[in-house]
Amino acid sequence: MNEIVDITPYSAKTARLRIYNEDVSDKCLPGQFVIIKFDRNGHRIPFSLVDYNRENRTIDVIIHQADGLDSILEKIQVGESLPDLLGPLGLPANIPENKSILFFGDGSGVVPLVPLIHEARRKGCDVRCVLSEHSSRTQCMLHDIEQDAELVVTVSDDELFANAMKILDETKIDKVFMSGPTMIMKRLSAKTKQRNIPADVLLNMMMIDGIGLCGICRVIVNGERKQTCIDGPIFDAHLVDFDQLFNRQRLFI
Amino acid sequence: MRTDRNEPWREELRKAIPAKERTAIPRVVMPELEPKYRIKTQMEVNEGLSLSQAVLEATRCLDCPDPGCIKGCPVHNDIPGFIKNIERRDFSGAMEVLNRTTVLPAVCGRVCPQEKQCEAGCTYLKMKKKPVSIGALERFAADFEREVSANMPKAKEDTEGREKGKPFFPIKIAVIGSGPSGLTFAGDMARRGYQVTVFEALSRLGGVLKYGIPEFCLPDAIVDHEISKLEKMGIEFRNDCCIGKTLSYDELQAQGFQAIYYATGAGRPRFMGIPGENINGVMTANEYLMRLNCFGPYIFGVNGASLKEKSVAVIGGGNTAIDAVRYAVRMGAERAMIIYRRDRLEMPARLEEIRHAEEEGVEFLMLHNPIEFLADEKGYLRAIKLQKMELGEPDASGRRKPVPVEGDIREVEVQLAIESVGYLPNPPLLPPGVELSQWGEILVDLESMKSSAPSIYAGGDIVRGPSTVINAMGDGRKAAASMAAAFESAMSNIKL
Repeated sequence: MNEIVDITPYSAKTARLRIYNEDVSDKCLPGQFVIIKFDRNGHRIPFSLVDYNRENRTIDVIIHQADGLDSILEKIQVGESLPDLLGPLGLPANIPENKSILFFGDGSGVVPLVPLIHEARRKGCDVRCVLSEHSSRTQCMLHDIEQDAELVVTVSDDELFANAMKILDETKIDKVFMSGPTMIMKRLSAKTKQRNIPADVLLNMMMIDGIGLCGICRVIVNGERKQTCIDGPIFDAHLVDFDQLFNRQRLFI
Repeated sequence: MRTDRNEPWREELRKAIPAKERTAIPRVVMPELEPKYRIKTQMEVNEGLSLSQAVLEATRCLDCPDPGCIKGCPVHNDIPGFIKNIERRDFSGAMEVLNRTTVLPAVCGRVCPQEKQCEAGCTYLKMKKKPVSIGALERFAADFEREVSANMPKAKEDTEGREKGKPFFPIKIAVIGSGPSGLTFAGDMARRGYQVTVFEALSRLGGVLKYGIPEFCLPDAIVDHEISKLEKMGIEFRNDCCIGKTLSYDELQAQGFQAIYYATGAGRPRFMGIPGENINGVMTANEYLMRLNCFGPYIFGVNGASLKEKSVAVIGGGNTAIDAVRYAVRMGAERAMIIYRRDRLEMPARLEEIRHAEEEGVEFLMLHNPIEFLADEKGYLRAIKLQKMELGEPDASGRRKPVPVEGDIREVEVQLAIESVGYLPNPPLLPPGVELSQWGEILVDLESMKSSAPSIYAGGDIVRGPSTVINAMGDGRKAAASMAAAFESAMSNIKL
């Protein structure tokens, strides 16, 4: 269990890990995550599931060194087993059928969108993506997305927002999924709210147990305290208190 | 199950020393590390009794004909039975007596609130004397076995009444949660010959014993030893497996599990719900203790929880609050205080822990209730606004209800506030048909610990709300007895 089946390096700092886990690969759905410990006494780190294969019983996660995972890529090897892997955690994404969906992702926020994009295509949706890319960290994912999306716009940070707005202005969009820096999410959420377009935000929070016991990932949604690990990680963007979220996230940057 | 008080050796022992001489012996004082030294370490504060201290303390016990201590113990340990074995220096005999009723003697000896349970029933109290130090003796018996007997060559294999590791009923039982209640239940069922698997969602086994109680109160190695004893009995443990997520109830059934004991505890933090709770620098005791107990102060190398030159306030008066504030002292806090809305005497924490905290320099700010957390211009915690309270009429809990003193509000400057104001049942991941209370506790028949769904029993904090280790163990024991009785009565009705 938890054997590393494959490591695909995308850059010096980024790699895709394919891990054998019978139970998680059997049940996970797009939008869910796992918690991994890379060494027995190490930290518990949440990772979005970017793909899974029920037949080969594997799951895929992307690890990137800048997440504080300094030397992990150098330490792990194909054939080794990870000491701990818990999942699938969180609630799956609610992706409608045969709709027109815009996916908006910035930086590492692109990663958790990938399984949702594939799922949207499987459900017959018309998929548009606006994704930023200013380091090598997610470049690797774009090829994956291209096969499924109607349109991939890879742009600099400045153009990102303008491109999203252009699509919202010119096309009929039924739903938006967004993932990225909190303040950009806040801005986009406000714009979708003005236009009455439903929007979901994927939150990337620090976690300890992942099963609702510590409260570190708490977020205010519609005036209520929610926990990203058990109530999320996907919330209605129009109801999330982004200012408070931004303040809390600063603690971990 | 009690040892016989009328056995010749017990009678002889009672006659050997007159009661008057026994009662003249002062209660033993547990040796402990110096406060100045211990706040620099994670080492266990209580050092345990020496052999001669234990034997002398055991001599104090009068071996009463109707012992009140057993009635005060939720798992009904045969207290005089094991204590008299200590007096006659048969330490493995003492453990044999304890093993019949408890699977966690080294733990209970350390963390039970004895002053409210067994020791509260001791005859010495009627004589206006200090009760026998039952907790210290239980701990001694367990520690002696672990540290001394275990290393000695064995005359006979201890078989626990059956062949080791081999269940004699092929009936598979699933236990959900590896805390004190789940472990007790598992031990009791395995001893009866059932095939038990314990599922734990987190990576370490032991539940609150590992994730909640700090090393300086209960070292992890002690818990691991107790669990290894259960493994030797043939119980299987599976960590990183969250039932309802990793494995479904249908899968448990498909794998042949015929009954479930659900003991996931109450570890979800309650929040006060006052303004400013999400300011950086306000956290739950769970977050603080889980981080420190498991990973040290850091989360992936950022956000160090070092408290040097910081002031820390822990809000609450229970054991968790005391654990958190004592941990803050060990993390180098300049000032560490307990803020509690009631009076000192009403704190639910163990007396010993309160004393330890005081010796370690913890301040106690009683009769103050936080009403707001205040942030500095950067959004980090600067101070807590406190409402002064006074005691009014007794409330439902029998304690005098704290009421605000109109207009008496002050601020106390702190950089870290830790909320420890109670727990809710863990988020349940249950199969349909299990009825819950409005607070999320599982409703069970209190005689049998059976829930409203077939084959699902429950106990511990998920049933009773936040309580003690020993009460959780008591539930596990009760549930095991009733589940086994149900299986046995079903089997006796089978006609071939």
